[in-house]
Amino acid sequence: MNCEIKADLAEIERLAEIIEEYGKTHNISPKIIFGINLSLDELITNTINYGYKGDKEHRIGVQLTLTPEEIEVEISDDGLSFNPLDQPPPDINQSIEDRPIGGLGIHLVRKMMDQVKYQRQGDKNILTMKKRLEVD
Amino acid sequence: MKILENKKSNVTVIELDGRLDSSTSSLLEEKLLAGLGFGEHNYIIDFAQVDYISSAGLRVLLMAAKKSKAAGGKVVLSALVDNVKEVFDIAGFTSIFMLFVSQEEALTAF
Repeated sequence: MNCEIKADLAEIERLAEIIEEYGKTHNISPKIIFGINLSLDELITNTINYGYKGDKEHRIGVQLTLTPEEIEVEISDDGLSFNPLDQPPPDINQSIEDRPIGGLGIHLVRKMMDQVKYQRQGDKNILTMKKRLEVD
Repeated sequence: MKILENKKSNVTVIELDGRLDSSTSSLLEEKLLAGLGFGEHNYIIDFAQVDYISSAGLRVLLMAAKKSKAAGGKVVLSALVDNVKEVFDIAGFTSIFMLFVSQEEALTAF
């Protein structure tokens, strides 16, 4: 499945509905679809908020590939070169007072997915994630 | 995202309905900042009608927890569905927020 959204936060909910439909059609568990939607949201929100210079309109591509064992999700954008995986993991054992606000998005993606990879290809950021499907 | 607010003695109960994400969390942030500004420092945030939360939502909750604690109050949460609870677990938020199965039980925290 291939789709493209505008680089606009309001598009994320529409994308989530497309992914949910895809999950129903292909009989993927709602828990896995939730994790995929959360990961897409976190990464695309980062790109929209920090990935572009200027007012030019941008689009973001999302591709889903299903095999019997796993689902692969690829996000491609033409934003500034940025590897979100360079971010150090947060310390999640700190008290309310000590915990910094923010920095949790990529942590959620890493925990929700089984594999996350970043590549820069030409003028594009390509983020590829894999999630194993639950075998009954 | 719909936000319903009501007061039970010295506690402000906020019922959320919808997704708590990067495009809706600012609504909750404004609501909480306004209340904190008026000197309301005790909150129950009810998640019964929330089926989705992202880090943008977590950010607002942590901000409110810090501010209310600094003022001698607290923010507690009720009725989290499984998917939302899992996000809290992964973020380490289940150790910094008190969670209750219902609003009624959450009131016992105050």
